[in-house]
Amino acid sequence: MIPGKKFSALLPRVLLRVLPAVTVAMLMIGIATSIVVESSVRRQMQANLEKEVRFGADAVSSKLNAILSSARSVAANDLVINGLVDADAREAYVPLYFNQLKIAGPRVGGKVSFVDYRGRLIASNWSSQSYTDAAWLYRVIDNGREFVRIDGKGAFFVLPVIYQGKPEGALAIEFDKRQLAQIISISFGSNAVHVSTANSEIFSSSARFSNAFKRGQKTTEGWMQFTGPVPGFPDVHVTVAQPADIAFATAYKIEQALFVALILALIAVAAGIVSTAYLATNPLKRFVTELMSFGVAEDLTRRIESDGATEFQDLANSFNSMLERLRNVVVSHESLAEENNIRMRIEAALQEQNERFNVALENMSHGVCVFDNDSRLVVSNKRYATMYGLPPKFVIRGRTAREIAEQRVKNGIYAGDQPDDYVEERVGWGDDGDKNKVKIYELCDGRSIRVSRQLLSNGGWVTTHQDITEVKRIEQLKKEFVSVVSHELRTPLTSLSGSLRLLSAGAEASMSDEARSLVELADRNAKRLTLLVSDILDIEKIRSDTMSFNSVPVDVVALAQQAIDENAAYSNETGVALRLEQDVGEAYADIDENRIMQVLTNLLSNAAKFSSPNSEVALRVSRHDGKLRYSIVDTGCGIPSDKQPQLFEKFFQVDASDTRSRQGTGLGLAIVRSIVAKHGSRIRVDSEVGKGSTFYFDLAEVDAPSRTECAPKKMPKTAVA
Amino acid sequence: MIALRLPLNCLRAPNMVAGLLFCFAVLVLAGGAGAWAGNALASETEAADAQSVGHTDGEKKILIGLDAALSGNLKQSGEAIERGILIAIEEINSAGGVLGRELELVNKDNRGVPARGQDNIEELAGLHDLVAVVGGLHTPVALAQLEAIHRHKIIYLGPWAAGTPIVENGYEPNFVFRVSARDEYAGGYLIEQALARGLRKPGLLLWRTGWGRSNHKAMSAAMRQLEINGAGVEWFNTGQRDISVEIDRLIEAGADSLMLVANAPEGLTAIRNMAARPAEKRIPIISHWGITGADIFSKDPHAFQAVDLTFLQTYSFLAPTSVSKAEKLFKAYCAHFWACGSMAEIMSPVGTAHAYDLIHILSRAIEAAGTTDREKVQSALERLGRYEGLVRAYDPPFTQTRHDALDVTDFRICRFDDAGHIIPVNSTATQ
Repeated sequence: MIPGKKFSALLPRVLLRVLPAVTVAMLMIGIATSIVVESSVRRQMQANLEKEVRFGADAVSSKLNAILSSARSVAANDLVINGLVDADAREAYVPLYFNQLKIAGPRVGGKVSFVDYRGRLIASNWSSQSYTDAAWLYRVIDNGREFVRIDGKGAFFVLPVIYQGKPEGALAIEFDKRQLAQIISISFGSNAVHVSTANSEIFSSSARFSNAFKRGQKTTEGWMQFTGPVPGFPDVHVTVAQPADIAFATAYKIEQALFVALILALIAVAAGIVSTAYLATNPLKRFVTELMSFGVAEDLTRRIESDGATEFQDLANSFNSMLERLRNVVVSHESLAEENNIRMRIEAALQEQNERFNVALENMSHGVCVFDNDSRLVVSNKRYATMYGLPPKFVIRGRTAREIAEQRVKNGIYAGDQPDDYVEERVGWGDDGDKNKVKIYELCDGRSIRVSRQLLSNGGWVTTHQDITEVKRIEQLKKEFVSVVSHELRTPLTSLSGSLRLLSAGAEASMSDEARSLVELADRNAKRLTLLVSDILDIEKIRSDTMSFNSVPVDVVALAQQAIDENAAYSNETGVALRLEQDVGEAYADIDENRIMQVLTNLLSNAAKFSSPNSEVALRVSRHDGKLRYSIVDTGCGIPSDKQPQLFEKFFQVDASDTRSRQGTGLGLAIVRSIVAKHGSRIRVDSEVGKGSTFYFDLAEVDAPSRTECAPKKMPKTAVA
Repeated sequence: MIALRLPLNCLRAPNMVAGLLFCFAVLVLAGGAGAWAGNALASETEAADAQSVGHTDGEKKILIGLDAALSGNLKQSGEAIERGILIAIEEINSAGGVLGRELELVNKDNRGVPARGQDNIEELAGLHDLVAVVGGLHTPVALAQLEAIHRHKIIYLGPWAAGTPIVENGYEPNFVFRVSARDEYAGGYLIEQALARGLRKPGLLLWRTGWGRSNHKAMSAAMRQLEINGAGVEWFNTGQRDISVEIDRLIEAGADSLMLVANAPEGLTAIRNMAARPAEKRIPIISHWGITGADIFSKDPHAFQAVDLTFLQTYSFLAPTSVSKAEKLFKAYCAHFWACGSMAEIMSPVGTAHAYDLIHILSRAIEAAGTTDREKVQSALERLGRYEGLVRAYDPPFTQTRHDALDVTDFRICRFDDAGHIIPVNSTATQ
């Protein structure tokens, strides 16, 4: 394709394709607009006419009603009524009265007649004929109704004249055609107003319309019109009409302007198309020229410049980035050889690392195996195979966890009676959700294998298998030793402290001061030793989970009182007063009474021990978040916040130099924590140095136990509402 | 209504034959009841019907017409007249009738409207055996009827309307005979009543009709004769709702009394307007008797008690000329109309008394004429001898030149007692 030809070929094509469509579309818009304009003008005109008809009809109605109402006042005038009775003189004054009336305004006359009950003339302001036995008399005299007749001859109003509550005469008012037209004369500027009854014209403001108007028809040639009835006078209609040429003058003007605008728009569109086509084809031509120059240059670093429309810039950018990629491909091809070198070096290093790993694996005392996310064996060491007596040829890469577990069961390794569960458990290790898991298996040959499993990030897992048979045996020996030693220690200790107490109590007087202090020292240490042994036993029981709990509903308040009573002696020794604070009445918790007593005793004695003499320790029983709470509150030295976390650990002392601490075993709070934990709660402490400490724990409240007949009846301490 | 409803119900009866028979029986009974009700006291019966239905032996009844207000505000006046006529007719008929024939009343209601009155005379004139027509309270109606009365030569008996020109009508022969007050005399009498009370400047408050003008003439003449100057004349119209302006003008002109010539509705308005004035600014009202044509007292007793009102009457059952005649009539009145407690309760007594005497006088004239020919009866009326009537002793009732039977000697002044009964002024209470 030759660039020079492109412009001349493209433009006519564009013009041919676009111009006819645009012309048709614009013509349609023009037609639609002119229809809309015309119909809205028509609607507007119609609405205006309708409004004028309404005004006109109201005006006619009010004019006719004005006549009626002035006629009514004449009919109700007592001078007129008197004329019914005053037969000899009425001719003298009634016509005079009628002549002075201005029934429809000063300019319009009107023939007023006054007739008796049979229509005979009583008085009139004109030389009238009689209305004797006229057809409307029945309506007026017998029914007392008004009679109105409006037609081409004029208007005729008849009103009853009431004498002593009954219509005894009538007032008849006639207006001829000319007078009627004068009465209802109305005009609306250039619009024609026409008032008519069903068969005659009463008034018309335009002779032209009057000539063209045909009664009963809704349209008149060359006019826009609207007709409406006159309120209160249904026979009378008002028509307002406007010459169509005037009505639509505006619409025609708008249509002309629209036509001119359409022609101009069409020219503008054509010019736009030509210039757009030029603007589009010119950069295209330059672009193509530029592209063709690449074929000659072979320079991949060159870039196309484009200053044209956004589309051309986008095209140039795409083309440039394509060039960039092409250049990169060329460059990377050159560096491929070097990359290969590096890879070989890395592979050698990996090989070395692998060997080291294998050696390390094989020399581990634990059995190790790794499974992938398909539960297939990836790697294991020989120790693993021998630990479970699996043949080395069986434990190979790709073996499934299920196959291995089943083989183990087959080999009789598994000591349990649920081999299927064992297999399923092993197979499910890859996806049981726990990241780390440790389990000890007893094998049938008496070995204990501790298996710890760790999940891998890629979905597989690693298990380490440790033979802990020996460890367990030593543990058992230690347990038995502690138990035996504790019991063996307690027996001689009991007799030793009993003897010392007897000695200090019975032979005190005969002893020298030195001897007494030695005995007291021995007694104190024997007591401490007893306490220590007892605590060690408790700790051991807790550790081995052999401490028994007998939980029954217990009144926590009574228990608190009991704890205070039992520790009163000790507190007296230290000069600290124990006080019960109760926010609750009788309340029950499911607890082991002796163990909780042990807890309270421990905490109370601790509090007393660390309080200054003459201070107070409170045991508070309260309700907190629906639970019962024991709080032991002292005002002692307090516990530094950094020491609080270790407070409940075995053999922990806040301040080892404190002599008071030395009196304890360091096991009390650990035991307290364990007992409270066994009750499903947690011991906590709030403390501030120098201000004191509060130890507290919560217990779930239960209903009071149902009492048997023989149980002693307790009186409630407070009346419960 | 009952007669219409029953046949409709019986059409639903299961047995059609029995149902139809029953319907027929009901219709016959209803028709009979209607005829009986229609015949009672022969009211509202057209002459044609009376002739064909009422009489079977070929002997025709003598018809007397009544043309008065039998409906509307002043129907009490018409009914009072009708009662006097009916009692007299019954007395005459029970004594053998006139010329051996029974008298019968034909009613026409003019509602107080001259046009209706004229038309009624035309209709009554068409009845062959009609001798006379008794008129009503309204002077304007009577005045309007004069031409027709004389064209048809019908004897017109006036029991109430007092207009002087009714009798002094210029017709020769004059067919109008009256047993009632005559304005010419009444006007003078009322002025004299005022003078007798020391009221020397009466203001005239008159109805704008022939009756008002008739009184204007009479009262003006009387004042001229008595040499007093009135406070002037004010006219009011029929149906006028407020007459206070006219009253104010008369009092401003110095009136010390009010001469009221009015019928009941406008009379009540004038009395109310007077009562509405401050007590010290009210003046006595001396009224013609038009206000007694209806029971206006009960419509506003307080107004009547507030105003010094006296009015003309020609007859009072409480002070009768002849006690025996009064008691006889009272007995018949109570027997026929309502069980009245006392004579004071007789409504519009002058209408009843005058009509009663007129019928008796007419029957004597027919007997004297020996025929029902109206011209001959007219002549006989002018030539009757003395007759002892209820209202007075007529000696004679009429002469060729005097067609008014009553004169000033029959006049008396009356008032309403606290119960609204008409009592003579010198009488204190009613029985």
